[in-house]
Amino acid sequence: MQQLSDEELITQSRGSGIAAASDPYLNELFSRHQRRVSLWCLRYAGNREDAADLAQEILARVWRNLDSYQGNSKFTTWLYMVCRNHCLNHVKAKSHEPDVMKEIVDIADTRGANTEEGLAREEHVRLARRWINDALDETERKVVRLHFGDGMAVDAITRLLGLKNPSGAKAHLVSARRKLQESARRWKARYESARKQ
Amino acid sequence: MSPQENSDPVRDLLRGEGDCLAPEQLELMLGEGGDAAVRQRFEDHIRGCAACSAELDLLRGFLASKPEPEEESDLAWVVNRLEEKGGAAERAPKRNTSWWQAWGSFSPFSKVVVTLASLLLVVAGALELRKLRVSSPGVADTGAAAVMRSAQLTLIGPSGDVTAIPQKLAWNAVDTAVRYEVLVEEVDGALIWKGESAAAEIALPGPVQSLIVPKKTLVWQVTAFDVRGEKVAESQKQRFRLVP
Ligand SMILES: [Zn+2]
Repeated sequence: MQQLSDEELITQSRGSGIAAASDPYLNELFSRHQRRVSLWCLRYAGNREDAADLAQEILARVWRNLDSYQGNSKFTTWLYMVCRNHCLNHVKAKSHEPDVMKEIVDIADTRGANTEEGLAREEHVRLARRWINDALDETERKVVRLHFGDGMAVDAITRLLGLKNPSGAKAHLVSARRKLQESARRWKARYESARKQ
Repeated sequence: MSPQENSDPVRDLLRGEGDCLAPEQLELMLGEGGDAAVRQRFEDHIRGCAACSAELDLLRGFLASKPEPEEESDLAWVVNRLEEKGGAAERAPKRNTSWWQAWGSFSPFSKVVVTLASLLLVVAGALELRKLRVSSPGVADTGAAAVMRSAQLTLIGPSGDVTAIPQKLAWNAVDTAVRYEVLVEEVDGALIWKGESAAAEIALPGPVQSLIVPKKTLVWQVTAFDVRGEKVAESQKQRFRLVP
């Protein structure tokens, strides 16, 4: 049993006709991955009590939805998607959009001066993306995306990305914000001068 | 149009050009091999996509599952706690359930009765098409952006290439939702079917399954409503395709 891959365990289980409750293949599968799921939850939640609750919910969810696993990816990749999605659903509403992101969204928008440039919104978004890419380094981009895009807590990002610098993701957010603000100022100035001409 | 597109402008700005990588494509990038041209194309996308590069790091960490020394004791506690709970369920008399199955019945989500509130097979009439256009992405809609920030609705499956006709669609429950509306569309946005469910999944009726034919890509999307009938979350659009 221990020599079987995850995918083989699932295939065996589906073909075994054994009632799921006493299915040794599924039991092996779940025992094999509970530590992995627990570690993810621990890093996401930041404390062991919440991590245990999250891990319990995730494993129950996996059990109920196992028949939707269709073998397109490895089982572990599918398990990751379930973990990640379940945890992100626990993120509560963000209290307010950070100013710097609001500013960037406004700049990328077609409203205001930009319509005079004759650029389609899509084109504008593409330019803004390139601009963000150029302004930030790789880690800053990842942290900004996970925090502002997915609403992931700063400490969770530090742990899940394994950031080792003293203040972790927070330091990257601070530098990203500074760079984006500088960049936004330059971007705006360029538009102002283009309009005057 | 990318299946990853959604109405949150911040998310939209923090991703790359073109389609983001599906789970199995991310998986490919973590391993060796694969077609060199395909790998190059994925690498090019990842380089310009904060979403995919972050996702790749998270997946790598999940697969490695290597606790730091300072994490060991908490991890042992969590695993122990899971096993204790399971052990108790297993010892319960007349209860032929394994620990993880017992969890299923204790989970808050199982309180949502797995019945389908209603099923509507829609002939894509003029009224529905009009509704659909109004809510289509790409139209600037600050209301929808606010919804995306208040709760996230993520889809579980089907996604990408599937080898068998899916029997159901499943997604992650949204805490405040009591009802979900599910749309299945063709890639050009033509509505194929609209269903409703109280649970975080819905069975695909036979007539809909019969429309799932090899090589034809379909798109599905879920919207969550709370007890007052207010929209609380909307998923991204997810594509899937039956491969022969
Ligand atoms: Zn991407």
